Amino acid sequence: MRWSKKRASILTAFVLISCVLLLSVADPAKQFTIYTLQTTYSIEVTERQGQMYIGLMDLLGPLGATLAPSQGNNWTVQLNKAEARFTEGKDAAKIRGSTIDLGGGVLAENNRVLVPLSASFSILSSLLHKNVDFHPAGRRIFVENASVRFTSELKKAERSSLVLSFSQPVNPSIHQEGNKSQLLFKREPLISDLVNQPFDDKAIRSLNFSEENGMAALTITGDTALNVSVGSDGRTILVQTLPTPAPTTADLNKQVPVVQPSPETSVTPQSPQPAEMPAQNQGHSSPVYFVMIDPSHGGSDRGAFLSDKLDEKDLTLAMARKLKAELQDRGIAARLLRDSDVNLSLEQRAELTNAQHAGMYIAIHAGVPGQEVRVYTPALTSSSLASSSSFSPGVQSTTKPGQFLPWETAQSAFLNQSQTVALAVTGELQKRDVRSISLTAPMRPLNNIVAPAIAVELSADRLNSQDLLNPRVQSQVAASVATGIAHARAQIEAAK
Amino acid sequence: MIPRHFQIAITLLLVGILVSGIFIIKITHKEQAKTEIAADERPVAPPVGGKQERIQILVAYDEDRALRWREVTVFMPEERSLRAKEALRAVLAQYLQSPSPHLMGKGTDIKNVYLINHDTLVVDTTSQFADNHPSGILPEEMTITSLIETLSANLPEIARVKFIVDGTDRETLAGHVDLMSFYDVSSVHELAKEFE
Repeated sequence: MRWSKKRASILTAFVLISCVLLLSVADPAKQFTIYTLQTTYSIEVTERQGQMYIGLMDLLGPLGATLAPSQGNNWTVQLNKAEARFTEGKDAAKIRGSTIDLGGGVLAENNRVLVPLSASFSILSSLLHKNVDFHPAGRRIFVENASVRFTSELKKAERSSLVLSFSQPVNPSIHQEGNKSQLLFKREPLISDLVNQPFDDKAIRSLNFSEENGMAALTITGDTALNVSVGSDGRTILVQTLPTPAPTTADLNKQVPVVQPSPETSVTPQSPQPAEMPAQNQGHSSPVYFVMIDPSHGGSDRGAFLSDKLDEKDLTLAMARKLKAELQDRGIAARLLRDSDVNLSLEQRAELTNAQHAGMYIAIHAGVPGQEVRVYTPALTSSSLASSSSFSPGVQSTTKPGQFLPWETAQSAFLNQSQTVALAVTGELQKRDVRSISLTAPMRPLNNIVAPAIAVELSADRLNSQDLLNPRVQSQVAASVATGIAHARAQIEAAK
Repeated sequence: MIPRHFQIAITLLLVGILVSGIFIIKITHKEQAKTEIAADERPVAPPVGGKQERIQILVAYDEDRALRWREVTVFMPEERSLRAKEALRAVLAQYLQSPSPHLMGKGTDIKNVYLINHDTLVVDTTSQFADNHPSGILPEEMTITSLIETLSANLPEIARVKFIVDGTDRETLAGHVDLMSFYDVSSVHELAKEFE
């Protein structure tokens, strides 16, 4: 009996270890990325009948297409005024009246229509009537010449540096492995005619461009470990060799004469960093900076009634999506606290933002009356703050890691940074002739956020509330807010 | 000779008429009593005592996004929590008139004001104060600021104010402005400056 128990334990342990090993060596999910001028999105790729398939609505849904209920084996997709018909099992589709070869049969699974990945080019180009560029090996497709290009320049000095300049702001994740640095571009439509560029340099050997699994990658190979930093505007990336390690005490003792370093001088040889490039991602850290966008209200909480047909919750979501796209265009990662009509309490909004360590929090609101954009910074009017001797309005208080922060006044350490963001956003709005004003308000959840936080409120008079739906107005506001955020981020990083 | 079934029918009819009559008389008496109670002008609660006073109240004006001081004449009792209640009601009276400078829902009123430790006020409002308040950062902020500033002007020793709705805590006034915290009056002075 004892023996069988032992055998059972060994068998269980073996099964568990096997599962862990299998999971660790499993292939990452295959994905296909679609780049348009407005947005970038990745969809899942599945394998059926030895061929790669994608969901038809995964491909077309984000472009605004709608799928009509199926009639037997037939499925109709509507995009603007164009129509496409797909029949289950058939390897051809009728798009805008023309028959298109799909290179494989259409599949229907659980009300999902699957089409071969290779057909994505024909479907998009026929349906959109726009230029489409398909990179099948990298599983990337570019609509309407959406692209980001780059140039590289090697500067030889005491410390060699490679400067990569991009046509648009980028925000790659950076991975270091030995003497190789890999910049992974998940959202940027980065393209290049160059595949491998060798350098005649001892420290930085080569630059390699590759596309794989819906992403682009730049790999820089050096002689030793490299230091990568992203410029504040997101358009420049600087790759440098790491500085020589600081001499040890024993080394210093060997030097003749022995020089006592003054407070102004450092014993660590360091070449000056360009002033306009505060480091964002250095060494082994991958970029974790992102802006949390909070489309206020949602679900049963409709927010302000802007008109008979317009609730605040719907407008805030539309604006938040626009702002997210604008930020990503500027190379700043952004997340939405809600991307559908769901209830989220104010506590939950603050908890999610704080738990994910957002770099910045932007709440979107809309209200009446007014004909302007109001930018709010948190007003900490709680008496618990007033009783704290460390706080005085306008002065940055300091928080230590692990320090207890009262929930009501968690924002106190970030008030100055929040004001910087508000000023930058208001400034950008005014530059674009959008009426705007900066105010303070004792608002939830702004007061509970441990990051720079502002609320942006679009306002209109009840009679003119439809103005808020004007795409031109929304785009102008979103672009201004995004630019303001980019400037403020640079200022905050520089101050750090 | 009257048939037996006819006798029974007439008897039942008479009983029915009698019962209906009694019921109608009872209803009439009840209504009379109600009318009398309604017409009774005798006080059911102690009147607002004290002298007529001219007090300063801070009124919100939505149209020009401003808060302005106004002087009104109200009966102000001696007791401090009652003084606070009357001052707040004087502000709400401005908002509940038509046309209103700052919209507020019907039924908005102050139920009670509790004074704690001489410097802290807890203001209990009717549920309509929050339920029917127009949602929006600006209108909510203007309401809270005007009420706290009015309290501060008439009871200068008050340092902290908290609002509760119908006896319980409410997270926000109408989705935006905080009602959970105790407001520090000196911080609210800073807010009011934005609306000068």
